[in-house]
Amino acid sequence: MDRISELPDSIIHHMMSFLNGSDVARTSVLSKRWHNLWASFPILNFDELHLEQRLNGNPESMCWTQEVFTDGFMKHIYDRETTNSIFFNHVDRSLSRFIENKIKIQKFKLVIRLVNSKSALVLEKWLRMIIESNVEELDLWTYPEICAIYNLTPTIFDAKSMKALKLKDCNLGLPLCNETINFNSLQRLFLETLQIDEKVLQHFFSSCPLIEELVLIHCRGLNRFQVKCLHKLRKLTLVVKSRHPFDMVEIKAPSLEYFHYSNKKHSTYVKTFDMSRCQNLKHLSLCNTDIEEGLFHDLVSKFPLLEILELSCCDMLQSIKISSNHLKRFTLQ
Amino acid sequence: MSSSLEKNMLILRSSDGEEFIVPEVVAVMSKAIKNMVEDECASNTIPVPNVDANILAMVIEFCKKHDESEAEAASDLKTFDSEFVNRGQEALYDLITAANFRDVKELLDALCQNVAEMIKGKSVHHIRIQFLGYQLFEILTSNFIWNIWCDRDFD
Repeated sequence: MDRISELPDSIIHHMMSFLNGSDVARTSVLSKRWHNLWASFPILNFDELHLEQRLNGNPESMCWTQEVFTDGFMKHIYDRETTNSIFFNHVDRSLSRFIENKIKIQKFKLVIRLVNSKSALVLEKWLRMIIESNVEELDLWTYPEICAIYNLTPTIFDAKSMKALKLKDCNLGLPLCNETINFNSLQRLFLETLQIDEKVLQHFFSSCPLIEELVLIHCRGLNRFQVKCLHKLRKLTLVVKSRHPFDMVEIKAPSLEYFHYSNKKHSTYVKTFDMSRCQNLKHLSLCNTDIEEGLFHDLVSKFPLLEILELSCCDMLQSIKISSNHLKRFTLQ
Repeated sequence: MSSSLEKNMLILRSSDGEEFIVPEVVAVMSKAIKNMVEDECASNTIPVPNVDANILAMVIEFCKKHDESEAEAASDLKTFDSEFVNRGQEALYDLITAANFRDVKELLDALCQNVAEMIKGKSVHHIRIQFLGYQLFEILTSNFIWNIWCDRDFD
């Protein structure tokens, strides 16, 4: 046996986490050991959008369909329903195998088309299964984008062992404020293109005290952003769409080290930018932010430990004055 | 040696007895050593069993570079990483075990990334050749003998 195959399972699994699904699957034929390693690989990744592109012969991603086409036998483009059922069967089978054999699932990534209430029910079943088996990371993207079929049910908010949660285009459901959220160990939260309102967000924050990294990208329904009670927060990224700008940003996070704020151009600028309690900030990055000079200087003066400052397309800044002992890198674009 | 030791320096002793003087900030990039230092169960000299001088020197080189270039551009560090991990099977195996055992996350990630590159987009045949390297000859010959054996059987 070669030296690499002699490494412990946990290291090979870690190595596999740098590969995409088909590369991992290919290793399964290397030897019996690699087959077992593949079968117990705790990162599950199911992508229906990718499957649709492949089956429907997207010329970039697929070469075998072309062969099939020229052959003349299977002049067949999979319609959406067939693809859908192939995908659902595949996920269902794989997931059942993990649950039945009690193999630990570390990360579950799912990109799924929700067409009717039946598929929503199946999704709910899967989520319940993985949460009961103590999944650590969940990455869920539902499409088509405007999809009112499925509301994330309380099931998902009961995941006590979840460390990272990433939601894209999902429907959170508005009566959420009454639900109890039990994200006791959540450390990383990513929300992208979601409809969310101030109250729901605050409710989220108050229920996950351990959050270290928070990313909000193009979320609708927020006109201000406030963080008050996240004492462990170290990294914060806010990307705001011009149609849904914030007019107030208030962050009180004593452990914050990294802050990125980006805004689409020509939007109304932020009037209040309060980060007075973030003395530990080391890396500040502002992009497309029409922040006024006074406000900017006031902001930067609050960060005595600042090491890296990145500014790009901040057009309203005529002059910049920085006095800091710690600054190591400054970029301006 | 330790009498003239500056403040914030630690001595690491490899499994074959060689000693390295390393700044504490560099040494604590290994979580295992960090825990020892924090629990104050370590004297100035910290034994690093299972890791020989050759490998320990490489690990220290890696940690030093990462400590120095904290605020440097990330791309420089990436090129350093990819050159650093580009080694033969034996060294790669020893480095991975050392990084895992001493819990040096950055190094383990860089090494695993390197192994992943060997697999990414390659055919099964190609992966085998990469993994087996010098053992390949042996396998080819044994396969050859095996094929002759099979042919004879089927005839």
